[in-house]
Amino acid sequence: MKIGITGIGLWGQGITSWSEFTAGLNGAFDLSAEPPATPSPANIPARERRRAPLTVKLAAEVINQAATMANTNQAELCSVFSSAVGDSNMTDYICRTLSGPDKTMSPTKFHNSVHNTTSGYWSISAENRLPSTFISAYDHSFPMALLEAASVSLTEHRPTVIVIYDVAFGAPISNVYPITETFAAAIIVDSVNSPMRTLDMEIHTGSASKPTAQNDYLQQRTKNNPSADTLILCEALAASTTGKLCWPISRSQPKAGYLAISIT
Amino acid sequence: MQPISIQHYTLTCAAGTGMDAIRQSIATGRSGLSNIEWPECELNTFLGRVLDLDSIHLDLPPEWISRNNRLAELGLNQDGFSVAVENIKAKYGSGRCGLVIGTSTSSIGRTEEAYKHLDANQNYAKSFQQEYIHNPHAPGAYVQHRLDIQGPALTISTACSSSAKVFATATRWLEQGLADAVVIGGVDSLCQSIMHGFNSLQLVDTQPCKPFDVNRGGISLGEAAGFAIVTRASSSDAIHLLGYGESSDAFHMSSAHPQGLGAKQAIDAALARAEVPIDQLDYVNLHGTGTKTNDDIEAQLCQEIFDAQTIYSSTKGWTGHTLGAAGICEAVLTIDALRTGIVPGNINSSSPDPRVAKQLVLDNSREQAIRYALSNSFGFGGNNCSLVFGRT
Repeated sequence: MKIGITGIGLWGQGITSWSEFTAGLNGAFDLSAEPPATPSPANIPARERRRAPLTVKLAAEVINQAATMANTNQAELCSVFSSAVGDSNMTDYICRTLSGPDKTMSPTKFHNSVHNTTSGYWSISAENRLPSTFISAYDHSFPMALLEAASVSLTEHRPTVIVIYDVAFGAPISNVYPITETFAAAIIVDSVNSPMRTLDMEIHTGSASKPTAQNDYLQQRTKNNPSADTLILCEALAASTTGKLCWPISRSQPKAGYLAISIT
Repeated sequence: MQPISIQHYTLTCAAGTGMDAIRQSIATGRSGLSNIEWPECELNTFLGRVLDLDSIHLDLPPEWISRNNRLAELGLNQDGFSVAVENIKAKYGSGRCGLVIGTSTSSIGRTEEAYKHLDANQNYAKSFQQEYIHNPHAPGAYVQHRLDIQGPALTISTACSSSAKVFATATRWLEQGLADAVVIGGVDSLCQSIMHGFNSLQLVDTQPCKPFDVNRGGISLGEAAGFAIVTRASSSDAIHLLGYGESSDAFHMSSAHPQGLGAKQAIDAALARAEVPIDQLDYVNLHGTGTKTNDDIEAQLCQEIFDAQTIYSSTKGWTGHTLGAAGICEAVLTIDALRTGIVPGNINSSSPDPRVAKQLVLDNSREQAIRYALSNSFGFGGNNCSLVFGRT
């Protein structure tokens, strides 16, 4: 599957835009950067912004960045949302409420607990009626979201945005998968408009070891958040040379194959 | 699009464990809904609970235990499904077989349970520290592990359209050569969060749900595990997926678009892809949840877009609303109707909305001529998916 990349949006520690990312690669990332602030995307109305879950704000912010870079109308994008563990704030609220004596749940929080909440809010704000999905492959969600978005774009003949996020959270959720810093990214794949870089992707059988970022600062981000694996591809996209990444597509199934990505 | 072959399918829900039991329930008019109590839940409601889950011994490794995975396991053991997967893997190679599972609740029931056993430091007790359980991909990971599928695998979670969309993803994978066969399915199980959550939205009926009845009072929650194997079509197949349509309402998180714009867009896209003219449609399995607003909008849509000879039913009176499994549950019931010629009735309803009354089959209907059928799934977040199936 051959697909172009036309836009990228990033929100993580010390990396809150593509230009900040490339500047970091060319010079040095700010090692003293604080955890990223909560974004305030302008297209979520002020009243909603206060109530909207963090994941919704993160998604809106990174899609805004990516769509601006791609010079694309957000109403024209198909979308693939993804996360390793979903919205941990919401999981914690629900499970804490149900473990207490009064199990009365906030109706708003309940309908915000579906994993496609980010997709729902964004489709409303962007007035987007196109196909939208939420997929997860746990901590191998990034290569599977990339594959899914490419296959949607090639079928629907439309640019398709991948939106991937995970939020920092403590115990007990961190017991099984520690995520110590928040990260979100959006990548627009496009089979129509001229891309900044092109990916050629194939599924292969056999094993491959998970790729790592070459830059130490980026490597730390990927250790702290599974969605930050996006930065591994971003690092390869930012390089002026062609590249190849072999990306395992499952952790729980070690015999599963890998996604081979050639970057030109 | 090129037709996709439905090679094998199975369903486990409140109306029966496996296809034979479900056909038997439908033939004898036995709904799966009951007002059996649920632990620590005082709600006055009927549930589509899979009672066999409590009586059949299922041997899951401790790290995979959750109600949702047990339901998946029970489902995989029916209708020779696991054997059929072995055969398809032998034919194509496991690495050429993909997996797409839809779910809304995933294993959140197990996470709810884990929160009741936190230690003083807010940590999960040891038996709940399960690496692959407390995340949206839990049922996909379990089925992938259980069936030893080595191709691409993911879980879709778009509320009540989740396991209808598995057909769309599988079709794309087959078209683009990412796999030669895809195991698809949906698994969703009853848990406290959906009961208290839907109750907070005042959407739960105190009686068995009555889709499209003028006196309907809301949904009956249910659980189900359904699976199918799909491949690119060959001439010998009997039943095909002919088209799918996906859309977003872009209206509200928990209320459908008042004119059903997104739903109509999904139906239109599915029929266009299938190249089936609307007057050829014999049967529509409606989303028909039983809530005032959803059924009102869908009834209006039916009146506006379908021809007079098309018959309808919502099957949620048999199964309950199985949420993330609703798509596969109703797809399988639709496929089975194509195969057997028996359309399950829209049970529990006696005074249907006048806009659908003439075409809604209240009792089971034997229709020899059924050739093309549509199945609708609409979810929270305004996420819609419609599927067109056909019999050759």
